[in-house]
Amino acid sequence: MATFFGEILPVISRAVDDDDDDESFENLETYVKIKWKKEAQEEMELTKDKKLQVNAFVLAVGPAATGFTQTYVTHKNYEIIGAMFCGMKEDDVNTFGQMSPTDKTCYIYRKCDYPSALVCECNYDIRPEYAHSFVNQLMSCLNLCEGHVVIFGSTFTSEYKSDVPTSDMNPPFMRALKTASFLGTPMAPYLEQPNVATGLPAQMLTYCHIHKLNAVLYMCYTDSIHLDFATLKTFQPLIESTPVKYMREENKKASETLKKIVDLHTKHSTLYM
Amino acid sequence: MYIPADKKKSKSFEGYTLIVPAVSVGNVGQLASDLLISTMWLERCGFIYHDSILPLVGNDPYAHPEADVCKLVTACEVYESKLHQLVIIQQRAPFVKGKMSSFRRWLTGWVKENKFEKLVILSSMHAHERLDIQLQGPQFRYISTPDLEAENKERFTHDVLKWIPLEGRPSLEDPEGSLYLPGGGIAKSLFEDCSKENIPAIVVLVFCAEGDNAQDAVKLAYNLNLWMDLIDFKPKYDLDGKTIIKPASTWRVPSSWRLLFGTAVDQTLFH
Repeated sequence: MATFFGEILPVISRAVDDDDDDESFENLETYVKIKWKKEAQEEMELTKDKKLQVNAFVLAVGPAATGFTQTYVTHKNYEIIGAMFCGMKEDDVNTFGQMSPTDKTCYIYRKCDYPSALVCECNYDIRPEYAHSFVNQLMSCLNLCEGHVVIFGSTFTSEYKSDVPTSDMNPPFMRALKTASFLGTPMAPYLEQPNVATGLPAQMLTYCHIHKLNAVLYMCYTDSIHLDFATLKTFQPLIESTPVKYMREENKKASETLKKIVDLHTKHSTLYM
Repeated sequence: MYIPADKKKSKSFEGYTLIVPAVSVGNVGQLASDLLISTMWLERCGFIYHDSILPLVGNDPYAHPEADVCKLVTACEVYESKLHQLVIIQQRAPFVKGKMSSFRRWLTGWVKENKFEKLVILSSMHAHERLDIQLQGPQFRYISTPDLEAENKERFTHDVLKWIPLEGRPSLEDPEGSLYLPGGGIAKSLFEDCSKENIPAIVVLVFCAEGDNAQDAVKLAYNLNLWMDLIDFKPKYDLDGKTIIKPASTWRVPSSWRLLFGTAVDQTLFH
C-alpha cells in the first residue's frame, strides 16, 4: 500500500494472513504424547470405559501455577503416574525434575491416599495449536463425569483490558471463569468483557464446558516477567477452593519451598547483577 | 464437530439459512455477526469444537455491562432463530495455520448433512486492493452462486437494495476476470467449495482498512438485513400470530466491543 508520502509499505492485518497456505506444516496430533505408568495403564484396562475414575482434577499451567501446586499440593504423599510431552526439541536442556527453569515437563500426579485425585503440572506454556490435541488425549483417559476440575494459569497485565490504567491495577490479581455446570461461586471476581483467556487453560475449560463438567479457571494477572513471591501468594487463598481443599497437603516448610521456586526462576536473570 | 448445547433439543436445520463470518480484514464479518446475534437476542444452540480453531474463553459478550454472572463463551459457537429459520455461526479466534481446509471440509459437510437452504458468508476485502471503478460509490459487494443469483436477481437489482456484484480481476490467463478477494480469509475458498458441491451460497462483503471497523460492520449488517429482512425496526407478530415482537430501535452493540484500543492510558503521562 502506498502511504500519504508515496512510500510503499506491506500491509499487515490483525485478522488475516493471505499467505496462509492450506498445507499443514506439521502433524499436530502426533506432536503431543501421553505416557502412563504401568500400574495406571493396568487400572484403566480394568474399567468399563478404559478410563481412570477421577473426582478431583487440577491442571496447573505455567511456572506460577505449578509453583503453587508444588508447594501446597503435590510436595508429599503424591506419586507420578503419567507424563505428557509436547513441543520438546532436541536441543532443549531438560533435567526432567522440574527443577531447572529450562525444564519442559508435564507430569500427572496422583494422591496416594485419595487415588481419584489427580494433578497435572505443566511448567511451560503449551503452544495454542497443540492445546486441542493435548486436552483430547488427556481427557480420553479420564472419567470426570462426577468430578471437579480446576485450572490455574497466569498471564501478564499487559494482556488485560480495563478502564483503569495499568499503573492503577495493583497487580498481581486473580480472575475466574466457570462452566455452566459449576454451580458455586469462584473465589475470585469473574473475568470482565472484553477480556479473554487463550491457550491450554482456555482449551481445557472449553472441553469441560461442552461436555458439561464442573470446572473453574483461575487466571492470575501479573506484571513481573520472572516468577515472584507476590504472584505465588495470589494463588494461596485458592487452597480453600473446591476441589483443592480435599487434595492439599500441609506444608510446614511452605515459605522455604516457595523461595526455592522463586530462586530457580530468577537466579539466571542477569538483568540487575 | 458440532455439539448441541441441549442434546434433547437437537434437530436438523432443514430449510434454514446459515450465516458464517469469515475471519477477514478488520474482522468485519465477525463484528457483523455480533451485531445480528446481539440485536436479535439469539439463543446459543451449540458449539463447534474443531482442532482448526485456536482456543479461547471469556465471559458472555452480549451481557449487560453491569451483569455479575459468568456465562462462558468459547471460540466458535452456533446461534439459532426459529422465527427467521436462521443459524448464525460466530467464530471468535483465528484458525490454526494450515488447518483452514480441514474446517472448510467439515463445514460444507455439515451444511449438506443438515440440509441448510443456503449459506451466507460475511467477509471484507482490503480497501487498498480496490479497482478504480470501486473507489467511489457504495463500498458493499456480493458474489453469489448462479442458482441463488437467478432466484434473487430482481431483489438484488431492485431500487431498495441496488446491490453490485463484485467485479472480477482480469489477469493474463483470465482476461474476463476471476474472483479475487484479498484479505477475505476463508470466504473465497469456502465459496468455491460450495459452488463445487452445489450448495447455494453468497458472499457479502465491504471494502475496508483496519482500524475501528464498527461502521463497516454496521454497513454489512444493514445491507444484509435489507435483503433477508431479519431485524424489524417496526413491530411484528411472532410465529403464534398473537405475541407482538418489539421492534429494535437500533443496532445493539455488544459489551465485548468496549476498550477497542486497549486499556486506558495513565493521564499523568501527559502532565
